[in-house]
Amino acid sequence: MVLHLYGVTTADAPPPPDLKGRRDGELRLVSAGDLAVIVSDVDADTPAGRKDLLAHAHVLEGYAEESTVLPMQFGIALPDDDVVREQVLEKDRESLEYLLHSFDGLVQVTVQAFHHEEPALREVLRRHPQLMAAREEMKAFPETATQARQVDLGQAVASSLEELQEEDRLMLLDRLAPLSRAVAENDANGAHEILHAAFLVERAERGAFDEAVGLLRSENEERMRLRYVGPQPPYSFLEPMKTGELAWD
Amino acid sequence: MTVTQHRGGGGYATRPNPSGLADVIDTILDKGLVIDIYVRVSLVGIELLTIDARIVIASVDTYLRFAEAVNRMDLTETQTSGIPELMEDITSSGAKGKTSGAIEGAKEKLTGILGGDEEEEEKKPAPRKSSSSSKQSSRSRPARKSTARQKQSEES
Repeated sequence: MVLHLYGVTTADAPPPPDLKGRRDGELRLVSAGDLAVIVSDVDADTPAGRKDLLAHAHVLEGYAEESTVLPMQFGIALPDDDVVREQVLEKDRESLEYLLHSFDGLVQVTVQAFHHEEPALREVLRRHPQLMAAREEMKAFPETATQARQVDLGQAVASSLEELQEEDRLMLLDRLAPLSRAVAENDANGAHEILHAAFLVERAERGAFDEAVGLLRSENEERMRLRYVGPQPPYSFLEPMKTGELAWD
Repeated sequence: MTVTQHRGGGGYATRPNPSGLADVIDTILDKGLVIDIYVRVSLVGIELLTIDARIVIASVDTYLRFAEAVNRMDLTETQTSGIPELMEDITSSGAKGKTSGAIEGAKEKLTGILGGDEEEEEKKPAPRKSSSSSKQSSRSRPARKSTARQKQSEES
C-alpha cells in the first residue's frame, strides 16, 4: 500500500463524509501543525485510468466546496505518513502557508464557450454581404471550376469568424471578469472554441457568478454553448501566486 | 437592454458541473503542486494524446469546409430552435459537444482509449530529478499561453 496525495489543506478541514478517493478509498488527513495533506491508501500496483483521474479531480472539487485546498498534480504517491509530513509539509511549510492564506475564501471556476457553427456563419454572412455575393456568383459554375475561389471564400469566412469569436470572447470576459478576483485564460482550441478561462471567485460571491453564467447562457443560446465547471481548487493561479505575478494581502 | 444581475428565486442561477475527462487534462495533469521526489504513475499514453488534442487546425481543408458550409446554408430560413442546444448545454460533458472536427475528434479518441485500455496502463516508478519544489516538470508540450492577470480591485 502507498498513499495517494490529493492536495494540501488546513488541519481543521476533515474530509466531507460522503467523499471517497481513488477506488473508493477512505480519505484522511496527514497533518503537521496547522497544515494537512489529503490522502487515501492505494495498492501500489493499481494502474491509473480515467476513473482514477476523475476521482482525484472530484476529491479536490469536493473539498473546494467548503475549504481552501491546494491541488497536487495527479500521480504522486508516497510510502507512509512520516514521509508525507517530511517531503510535503515540512519542506515547503512556508510556501504552503502563504498559498493557503492567499487563496483563503477563493475558488476557481472554469468557463468555456463554443460557437454553434451554423448560427455563427449566418452572422458572418449577415455582416459581410460581399461574402454572400461571392457565394452566389460561384453557384453559376461547376464546383471544379471554382476551387481556388472556394478556398478564398473559405479563408475570408474563417477570418471573419475569428473577428466574431474575438468580439464574443471580449463580451463574455466583460461580463464575468468584474465578478472575479483574477482571470487566467487558456488559448482556445479547435475551430469553434471562443473562450477557455479560469476565474478566481470569492466563495461567498459564487451565487452572483452562477447567475451571470446562467444569464449569458440564456441570452446567447442561439449562437453559443457555455460549459461551466467548478468549484475547483485554484489550479490556474498557483504558479502566478508562487512567482508573485499575482499577489494581495 | 437592461439586464438584471440579481434575480430572486434562482431565475438564471446555474450550478457549475464537476470536471469531466477533458477538464482533467488541463488541470490535474498540467497544473498543481509537485514535490521533489515521488513515484509517478505512468501516463505516457495520455500525454501523447493530449498533444494531439491541442493541435489547432488552420488549413486549406478547413477553408474548404467553411466554404462548403456557407454554400449549403439556406438563407431563407429565419430561426433555428434554441431548445435542443439548451438541453445540450445542461447535459454536455465537453468531449461530446455539438461542434465536430479534428479537435473534438481527438478528445473523443482520448476518452475512448482511456476507457478501453485502462487495465493496460502500467505504473512505473520514475523518480523525478530534483530541481526546485516549485518548478514545473519539463515535459515537452506545445507552448501554451496561460496568463493570469490580476484585476484592479473592483469591490465597492
